[in-house]
Amino acid sequence: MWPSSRSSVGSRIVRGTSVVVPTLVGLFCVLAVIMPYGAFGGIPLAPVFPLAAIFFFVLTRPGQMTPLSVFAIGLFQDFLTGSPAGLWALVYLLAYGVTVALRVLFVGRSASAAWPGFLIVAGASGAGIWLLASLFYSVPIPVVPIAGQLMLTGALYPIMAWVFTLFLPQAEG
Amino acid sequence: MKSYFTSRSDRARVTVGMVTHRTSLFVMVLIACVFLLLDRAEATVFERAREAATDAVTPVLEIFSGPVSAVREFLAGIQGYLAVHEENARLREENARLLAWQAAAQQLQRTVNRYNALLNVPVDPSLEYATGRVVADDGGPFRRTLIANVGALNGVERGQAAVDEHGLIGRIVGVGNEAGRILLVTDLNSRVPVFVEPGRRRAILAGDNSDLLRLDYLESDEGIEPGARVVTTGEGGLIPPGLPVGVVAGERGGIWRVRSATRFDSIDYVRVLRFSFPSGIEDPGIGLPDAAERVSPPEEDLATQPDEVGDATADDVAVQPDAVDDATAIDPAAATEAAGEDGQED
Repeated sequence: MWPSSRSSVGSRIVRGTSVVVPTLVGLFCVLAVIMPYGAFGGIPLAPVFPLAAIFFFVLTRPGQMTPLSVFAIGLFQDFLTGSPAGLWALVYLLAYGVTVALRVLFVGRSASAAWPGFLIVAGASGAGIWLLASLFYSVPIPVVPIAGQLMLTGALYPIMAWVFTLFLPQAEG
Repeated sequence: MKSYFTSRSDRARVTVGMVTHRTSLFVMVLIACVFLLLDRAEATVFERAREAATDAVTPVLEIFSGPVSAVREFLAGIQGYLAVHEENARLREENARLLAWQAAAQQLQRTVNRYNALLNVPVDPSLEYATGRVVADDGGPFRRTLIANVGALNGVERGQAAVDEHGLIGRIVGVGNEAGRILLVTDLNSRVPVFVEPGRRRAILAGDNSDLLRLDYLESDEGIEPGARVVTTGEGGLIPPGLPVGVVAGERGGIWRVRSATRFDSIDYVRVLRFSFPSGIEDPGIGLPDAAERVSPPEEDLATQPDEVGDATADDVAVQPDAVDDATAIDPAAATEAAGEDGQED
């Protein structure tokens, strides 16, 4: 009796903790993106890790990567990068919306098959960033850094997805 | 690779969840839009939250940014090793040129000291500074900011200038207790009043997220050529005057561009200048003479002037290195010659 109840409590704790894992991974990705990697030709050398995390977990753990989580991740990035409050949040919510719309195409497919989907999401996010930032600052901001950074992110998605897989429960990872 | 979606029931569960998520998504998008509009209307609304978030993560960033910087420096080192011969030749040439400047600068410093003594120029306010390490950058494609581990506890305040070994790199726009955010001069929102030498043409140095800075509202481009130095004017009272920013790179489409010597993508350490603009004007006890006195000064006053000048030594007048640097914004040979002539006059 005692061991089984203890195991029940333990499994609840594990389950409860796993609910917030995608959000925590997303928040950690924000810290990873602001590391001083530098830039090359004006293009930041930091992939947009949170975007990849949001896409990955919306596909694999939709109940745990909610709009609230996405909003929190985006706002955290806004505050840490000094960007207009709500800008990255809005871009990530846009990415979330596109991912949800595309999700039906990837149900039952492998993670690597989702790569083209991520490229579409990255493209939509890039357009969103450019439009929102240009509107906010009332001046067209340069396209090249945005395009370069998102192409880098798109190219590295399979590696990032592999890392994110480590945060899924073992039975499904 | 393994599939994450194992059954039809899984799909159904996901679909129900998505309906709830859509409502939630709509609400979150609305909130994000409101935040954006609030920030657009009043940029300081979220300032405290930004500072608190930056302060909270700075210890973590300090830990992780060290290895990242080390890797970046290692890669830069490899790159530098490949170009070591060109770099060596360039440094030799630069060294020869700087030696000529050194002689000119020493001459000019003596001249400036003498002029300062003659004019009774007050000593520049002391420039204190706080040095910090860059622990994060914005990581994004539309901002040019850095976070350094110096904050209010180090005496850093909003608006203060941040420099590296090459000159001005930006100014503080957000201060937490232990960290400060630096808006780089290359950022879209950066505006710094500058002089373009020679001729001290006023302009506003503006960033547009590219590596080349723009000169807006240039007083006149007469006599300005590529290579002309650009220095801060000090207007506004937060950024000290005379800080080098870069050199004029050229003109295209009617817009003059400035190239900074700083590589903005690999800044490791910064100094934040705690500059205080001289606000109090002390009465030295020598009031302006009446008009009549100015027309015909007493003979004894004239007679005493040489002695007063003679009493003032270089030790009496502290000249900031920047002042010397400014003074050498001319040809070294001409500078030496001018200084020599001045010495002969004395």
